[in-house]
Amino acid sequence: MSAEQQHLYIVDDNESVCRSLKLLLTTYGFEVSTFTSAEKFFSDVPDSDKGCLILDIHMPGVSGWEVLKRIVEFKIDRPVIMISANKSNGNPERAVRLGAVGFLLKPFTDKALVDLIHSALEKPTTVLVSHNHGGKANEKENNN
Amino acid sequence: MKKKTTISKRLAIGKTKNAEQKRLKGVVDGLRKNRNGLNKKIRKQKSALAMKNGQLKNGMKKQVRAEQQILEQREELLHVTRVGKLAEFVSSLAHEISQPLTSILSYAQAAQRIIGDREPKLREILSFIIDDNQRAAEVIHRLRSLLKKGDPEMKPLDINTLIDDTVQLITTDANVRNVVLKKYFASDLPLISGDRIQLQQVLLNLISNSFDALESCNAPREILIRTSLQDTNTIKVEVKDSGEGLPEDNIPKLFTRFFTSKPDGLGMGLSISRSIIESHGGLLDIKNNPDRGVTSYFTIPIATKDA
Repeated sequence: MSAEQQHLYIVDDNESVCRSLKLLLTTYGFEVSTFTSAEKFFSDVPDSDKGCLILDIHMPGVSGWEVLKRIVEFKIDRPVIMISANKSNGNPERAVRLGAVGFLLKPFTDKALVDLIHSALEKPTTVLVSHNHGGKANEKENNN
Repeated sequence: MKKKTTISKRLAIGKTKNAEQKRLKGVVDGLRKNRNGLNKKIRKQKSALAMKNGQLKNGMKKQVRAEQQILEQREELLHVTRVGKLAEFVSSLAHEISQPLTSILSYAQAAQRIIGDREPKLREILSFIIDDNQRAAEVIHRLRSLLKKGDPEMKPLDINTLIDDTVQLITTDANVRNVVLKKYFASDLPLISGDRIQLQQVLLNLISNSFDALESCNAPREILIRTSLQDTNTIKVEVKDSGEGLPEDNIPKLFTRFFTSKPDGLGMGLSISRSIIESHGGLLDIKNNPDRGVTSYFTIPIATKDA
């Protein structure tokens, strides 16, 4: 286990889904906070707090799509994994197109989820950040 | 004199009589002519009436046909609505069931990780829960793909190619189940007009029913898929298995929603398949084979030139 515990945020209107995912992901050594609405998540977690967001798409009030849109628009450095019980309407493609790390169809196994979390936490997160990395690298090369 | 007078009188009378007779004859002749004319007229009118009668009958036939058409169209409309409602219903059902399945799976996997190697018996029980959870998830997944939403995209299709493509999807499954898939395709079949995905769903449903029928079968496990031209406008597709067959009483019930003779069946597959085939203008049915097993078959109209 790494010395620094990595933080996960789960936003799903279904309490049992929140509780069970928290139980499961804690066994993998993550620090997990759960929220049953997007509104609660935004009011409780400052944008500057690090961590990966596991986000349900269909929620009453602010939907997962709107949350993702806000995170990308405000250039918040937070990887997002979209989850949903519905695969239709091109949800998986849409999630990635809009800037999420990936999409998981409910129910999913712990392996699928944990693999995705690891790749999310390793990767530079938003499109903007990855551009910056690339830009800096180029600048360095140019300076040399 | 008197006599003379009488004679002449008589003569005169005779003359008048003759004239009278002539006149009468003329009248009779006239009447006869009239009668012939009338007869002719009657005959003419009779045939005109018969013609009108025929036209009327034709008109009535047309009306009956039109009414029949209206009835059929109404039926079709009802059907489309029913299929739409079903899709909606299944979609929300699938969503609602997926939520608890997600948490059950995560609880069980969390418990397994917490127990570690300490309680092998408990670990095993948890793995049973996980397996069954995944089975339920698979059913939901199958159901959802069976009822893929969206308007059907009707295109000219070669039914043999479509079956080939579909069979390819399940070849591995067939091998695992030790089932031999045989194809008897009529060559040079005309194209049909249909939605590729929907028709594949129907074929997959019929073939997977056959798989299930062969599950407990000790005799050679064989599925035969045959295509043929039923008549100039219709193609027939048959999926025949060598299983145990079905209780004759159950056959009509198979198309009722939620009726199932399988332990883990949902009772949706055939009712959906029939809806799909009917929306293509065909028929889908099932019958026991004279020797053994069941043949499920559907017909589908060939593509018209303007389709």
